[in-house]
Amino acid sequence: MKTPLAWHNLLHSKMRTATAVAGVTFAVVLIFMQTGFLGMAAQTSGMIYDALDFDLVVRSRQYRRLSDAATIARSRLYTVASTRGVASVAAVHVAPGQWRNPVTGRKRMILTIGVQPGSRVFKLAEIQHKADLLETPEFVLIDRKSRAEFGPANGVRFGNGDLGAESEVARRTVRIVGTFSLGAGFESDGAILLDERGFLRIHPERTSQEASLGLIKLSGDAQAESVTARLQSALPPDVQVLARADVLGFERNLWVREMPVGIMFQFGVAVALIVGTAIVYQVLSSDVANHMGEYATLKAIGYGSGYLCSVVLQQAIALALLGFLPGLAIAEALYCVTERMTNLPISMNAGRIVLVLTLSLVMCIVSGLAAVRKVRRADPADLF
Amino acid sequence: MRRRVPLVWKNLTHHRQRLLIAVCGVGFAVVLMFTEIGFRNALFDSTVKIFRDLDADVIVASKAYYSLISQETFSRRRIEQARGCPGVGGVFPLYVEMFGAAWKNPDHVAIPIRVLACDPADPVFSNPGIRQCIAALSQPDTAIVDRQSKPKYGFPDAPTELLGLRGAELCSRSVRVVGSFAMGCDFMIDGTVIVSSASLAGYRPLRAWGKDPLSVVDLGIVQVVKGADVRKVIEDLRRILPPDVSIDSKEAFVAREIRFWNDSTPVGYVFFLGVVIGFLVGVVICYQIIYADISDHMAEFATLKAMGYRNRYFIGFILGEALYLSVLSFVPGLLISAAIYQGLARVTGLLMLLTVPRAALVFSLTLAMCTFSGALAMRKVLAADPADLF
Repeated sequence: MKTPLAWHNLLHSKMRTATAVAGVTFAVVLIFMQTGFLGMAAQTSGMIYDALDFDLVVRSRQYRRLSDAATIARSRLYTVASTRGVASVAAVHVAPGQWRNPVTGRKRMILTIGVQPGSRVFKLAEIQHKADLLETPEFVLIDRKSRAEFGPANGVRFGNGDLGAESEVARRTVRIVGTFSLGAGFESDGAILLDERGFLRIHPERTSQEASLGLIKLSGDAQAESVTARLQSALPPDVQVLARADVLGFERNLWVREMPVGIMFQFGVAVALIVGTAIVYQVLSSDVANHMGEYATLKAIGYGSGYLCSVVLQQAIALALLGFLPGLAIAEALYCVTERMTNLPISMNAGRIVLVLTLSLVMCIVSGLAAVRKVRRADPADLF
Repeated sequence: MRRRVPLVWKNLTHHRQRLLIAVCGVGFAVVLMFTEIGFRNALFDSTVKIFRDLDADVIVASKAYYSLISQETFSRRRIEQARGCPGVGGVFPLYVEMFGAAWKNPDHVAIPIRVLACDPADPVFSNPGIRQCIAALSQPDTAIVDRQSKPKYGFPDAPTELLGLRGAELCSRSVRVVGSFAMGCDFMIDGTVIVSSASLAGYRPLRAWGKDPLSVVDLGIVQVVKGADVRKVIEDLRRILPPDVSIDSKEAFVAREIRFWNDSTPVGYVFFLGVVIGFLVGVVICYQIIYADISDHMAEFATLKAMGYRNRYFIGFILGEALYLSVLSFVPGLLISAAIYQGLARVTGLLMLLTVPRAALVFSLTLAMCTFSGALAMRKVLAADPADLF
C-alpha cells in the first residue's frame, strides 16, 4: 500500500491544518448564512397565499403586495362566478391595521384578513375549522407565529392563555377567540383573521361592495389556461387574473428581486461567494507554499509532477470536507438562533447543502490547481 | 544614530506574490465588513432621512406614535396650543400619507407613493432642494417630486422634462409637477412627493374620517427661538399640552425610529447578524494570513533569536506587520466598498453613506483583527528554540 501522503501532510502540523480548516469553515458559514437570508425572503414571500386554497386569483391591477393590495369592485366577482369553468369564487379582504398590545397598550401594525362566513378559503384544516368561531364582528383569531411585541399573555407567543383577551384594532375592541398557525414574513410580523363584518368594522373606509382578492376554484374538468383567458376577456382591464403558480412567483420575485431587502440579500450572497473563494484560495496557497520543501524533495527522489498534483488535490478535497462539516453544524445552529430571534422560518434544505458543498469543493480544487503550478515549477536544486 | 534595517517592510515585500495574496485576503475581509455594516446602516439612514430633511428642533407626535409607519395622528389644536409655549419660535403641522396615496403617470399604472404636505409658506424643511422650489406649491393641485424615487413611477430624469410632465394623477386627481428635490427611498417607501396642505385636503378628503381633512396632523414641527434651551422647551411643552401627544427632540425621534427597526423587525436582526458574521470571518481570514506568514519565517525568527534579539523586538515586529498589512489592505478594500455602495444605492434607491467615523470603525476593526491574529501567532515565535533550527 502506498503512503497516504496527503493525509500525513495534513496530520503533520495539526495546528496549521486546524487554522486552514477554520478558514474553510468560516467561508462555508458565511455562504450558508447569506443564502439562508435570501432563502428566508423567498420562503416567507408566499406564505399567506400558500395557506389559501385557490386555483386562480382575481385582483386589482394596482396590486402591489399583500398589505397593499388595492381593491376590486365586488361586482367583478359576480362576473367571475358566472364564467364557465369556475366552481366558486370567494372574496377575501386584506389590509394592515393598528393592533393594540393588550399588555403594554403599545400599538403595532398587524395584517388583518377578513373572510366571508362559511367560505372555504384555507387549505389548512385548523384555520378553516377555527374560522367557524368567528361568530360576531368582535371576534378575532390571531396567528400564533405573531411576534411577541403584539402582547401574548405569556410574553412569548399567543396560545390558549390568550383566549378571551380583549384588545383593540384601529381603536375598536376585539376579542381573541382562537389561534392559528400561518407565519410571519418581512412584510408583516403578525396576522389576525376576522369575519367579513368584523373586517369592515375595523376598516370603516372599506365597504362590502369591494374586496381585496377573489379566490377562484375551478370545476373539476376546467383547464386553468382557458378559464383565465375567458375571465380576462370578460373582465374590464382594472383587474387581473393570475394562476396559483404566477401569484406565488409574483410574490417571490417581489421580495427577492424588487424589495430592497431582497436586493441586499442577493448582494450579500455575491459578496459571500467572492470572500469565501478568496479565503479558500488563501488557505490552500499558503498550505502548498509551506510544503514546498517536501514537494521539492519528492521531486528529487523521482516522483513526477502528476503525483504531486494529485497529493495537492487530495489535500484540497480533504480540507474542503473537513471545513464543510463544522461549517454546516455552525450554520444550522445560527439558523436556529435566527429563527428564534426573527420568528421567520430559515431552514437548511438539501438543495442548499449540495450547492454549498459543491461550491466549497470547486473553490478548494480550483485554488488547489492554481497553487499546484508552483509545485510543478518546484526545482529540487533550490532546496539544497 | 544607527539606521535600523526596516525588517518588517523587507519581510512583507520579499515575496511580492505572497504579499498580494495576503492583501487580497485582508482586503476582502474589509469589503465584507463594509458591506454588512453598509446594509445595516442603509436600513437606518434611509428610514430617518425624512427627519434629517426637517428643520425641527422639537417634534410633536401622537402619544401612540412608535414609528413613521404607525400613521398615528393628533389634533391640529395641539399645534395652536404649542405656539403659546415660551421659547417656541414656530410650530408647523406636517401631514404624512405613508401608504394611502397613489401616483399615476399617463402611461403607467397607479403606484402607492408617500405624500408629505405642509403650508408652502412654513419653513418646515431643511433640505435645500425642497426649500428652493416649495414656494411653487402655492398654486393649486401642484406637487414637487423626489428625483430619487424608484424608476417605476416614470419621473423623467431631466428636470425640464419633469416640469413638462402632463397628465399625471395623484389619488386619481390631476396634478402638475412644479419642481423636484432629492430625498431617497427606504425599506417601506419607494417614492415621495410634497404637496401643499390645501391640495392634500383635495387629494385625501377622507383622511380624518369625514371631519376637516387637515384637522388631524401627523408631525408637529417645532422651532425654538435663538438662544432658548431645547430641553427646557420640551419640558414646558410636555406640561402645557394634554397627554395625548408625545414631545421630544428631533434626535430622540431619530433614535426611536432606529430602535424600532433594530429591535422589533426581522430586518434589523438579520443585518445585525450579518455584521457579526462579517467581523468573525474577517478575524479568521486575518489570523490565517498572519499565522501562515509567521510560520514561513520561523527559520529567520529562530536565527534572529540565536543572534540575541529579545522577545520585545519580535512583538514590535508583529505589531508593525499587522499595521502595514491593515493599511495596505484597507485602502483597496475601501475603494471597492465605495464602488459597491454606489452600485447598491443606485439599484435600491437607499441611502448608502460611507462616513469618516464608519470608515474609521472598519479600519480600527481591521487593525484590531490583524494585531490580535499577530499576537496569537506570535506565541509560536516566542517559543521558537534556535537550537531546533540547526
